[in-house]
Amino acid sequence: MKSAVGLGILIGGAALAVAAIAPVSQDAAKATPTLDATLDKAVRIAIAGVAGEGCSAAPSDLAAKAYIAHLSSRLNRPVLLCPAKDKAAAANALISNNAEIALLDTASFLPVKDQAQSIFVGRYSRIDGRVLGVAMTLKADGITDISKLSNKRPIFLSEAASGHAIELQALSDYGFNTKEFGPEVIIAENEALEALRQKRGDVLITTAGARQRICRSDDPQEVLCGDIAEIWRGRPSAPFAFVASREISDADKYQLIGIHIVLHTENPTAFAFIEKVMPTSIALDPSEADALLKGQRR
Amino acid sequence: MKQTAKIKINNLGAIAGCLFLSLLAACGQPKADSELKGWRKEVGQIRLGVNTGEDAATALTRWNYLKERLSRITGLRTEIFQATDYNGVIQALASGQLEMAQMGASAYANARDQMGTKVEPILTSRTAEGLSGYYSILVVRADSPYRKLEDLRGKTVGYVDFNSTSGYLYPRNKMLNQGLDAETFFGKSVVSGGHSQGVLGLANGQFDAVFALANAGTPETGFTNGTIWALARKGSIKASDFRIIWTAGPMPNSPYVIRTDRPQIFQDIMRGALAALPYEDPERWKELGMPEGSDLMPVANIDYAEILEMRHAEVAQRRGMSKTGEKR
Repeated sequence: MKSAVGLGILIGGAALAVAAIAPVSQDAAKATPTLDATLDKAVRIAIAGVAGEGCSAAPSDLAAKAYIAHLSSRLNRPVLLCPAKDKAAAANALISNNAEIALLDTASFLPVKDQAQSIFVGRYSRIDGRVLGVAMTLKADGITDISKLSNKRPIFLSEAASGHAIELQALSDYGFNTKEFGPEVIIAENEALEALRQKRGDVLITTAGARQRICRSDDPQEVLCGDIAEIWRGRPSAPFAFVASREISDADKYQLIGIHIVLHTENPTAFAFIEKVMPTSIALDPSEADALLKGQRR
Repeated sequence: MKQTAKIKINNLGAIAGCLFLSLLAACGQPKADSELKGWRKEVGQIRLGVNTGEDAATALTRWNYLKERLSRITGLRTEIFQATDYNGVIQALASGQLEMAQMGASAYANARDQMGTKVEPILTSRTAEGLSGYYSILVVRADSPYRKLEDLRGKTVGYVDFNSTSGYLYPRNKMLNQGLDAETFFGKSVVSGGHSQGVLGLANGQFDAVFALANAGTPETGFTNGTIWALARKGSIKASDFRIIWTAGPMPNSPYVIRTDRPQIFQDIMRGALAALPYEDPERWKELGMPEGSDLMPVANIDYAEILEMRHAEVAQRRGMSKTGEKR
């Protein structure tokens, strides 16, 4: 598998790192499963579609070079960019200990989901991230999950992406064909519960933040949503994610996240590489482990 | 509240800071584990500064959880140091007795003025709708005759703290922009010591009006969260007993700040460990009192430039006031 993937490992100094592309032995890799445990071990990043052959600490692409240099400086250890022929190969590199991080999509993540976790994802709007949405129905209506929403009329509180398009995308990612919705209505937030009770719509779809505002009374004795069922809650799937082994140490994982979520402001030249491999992303956000999955998440 | 060093600071300025520091020492600083290596040895321990002047129970629940999380992630002993006013945390951070703290924007500006680039904001909260910011509100009792700001000319107003953004710095600056100098506009100005204390003092008739904070909304949509609403949900007051007659904002949300002379690897881990929480465990995030669906966004000093400028302008004006906040 390793030769097919074409990824190598480099241990030691930068010169050696650039020259060697031989894969590491499986035993050696198993002995050092996490970054934190091997502070002098190179961090290999497997990405499909980047130029070059074999892992390199100094890729020819200027943005890639800036990214690798930035990461190496912050991690205080060698960092290698490892071109993969496709995302499946990048995933294989990850689980065969030929890479510590890989850029994957849903298809390439699925076969490795038990061994790997998404750690950060692209953000594509300054305002809207992967908004946590909810779907609420009247308990009396007996709608218990999103599979029963066909022909139901959705109530939205906004036409803004954060309260509309993103929730529709998320519902779709969770397996509901949103084209099966009945006609939608837009209702002001302070009228949402009454609109549902008056059957002006069948399911209230909004952000988790709006749900909290709607259902939270200023009077601790007052229950505002006792007749309401939350039948779904979730974020849209990420189209791409940087993925690490589930064996990665916490310190390494959060260090990587901490470095990457400020990359766009701290080092725009380095972030230009992220824009190349995750087109239209403007920043990076942390993510849940299964952010790449569709319809199979909690 | 286990393993929490509770410290009460009431005075402002260096005296309070020194008292805070001496109390820290009295509580006993954890010693570095001799087995620590590399950046862990350099950091030794994590000391988190918390100002619990507003909603102590919720704040401590959140920080105790964060303490456990950060300790587990870093492998370092982690302690919470609690102060009851803003200046206690600022002084402890400035003197190197803390690695990280959360503070209001104005308190950060104060710390920045004292510490320069040795302190940086790293994260602040962002709502599910992508908004980051909150409002200062001027609150009166609903049974009072006051309906607009002008009605309070010559009356007694309660500020939160000299280092409070929404409860002091920001509204005073915005009043000045409207041609009203708070120093001469109000008849008497008193510092209540906290948002909750101010509203409770208003309820008890100590003030004619108080500044407090509001979020989860805008002046146009109305607010559903903040000082009044938090107190109402605890059963301490009825929200309908109060009226908002003036607002200012939005102002940047309170940042998590970190000392930049700690190892970069430590700073990066802390940023990542905090920012990942709302995605990894949204239910826990909600239990910690954070708005549902909200997350933490990276920030830098430039995001607080307006507040820094306001503070610089305010410092000169403050020189003419007594320690209690009453005009001389």
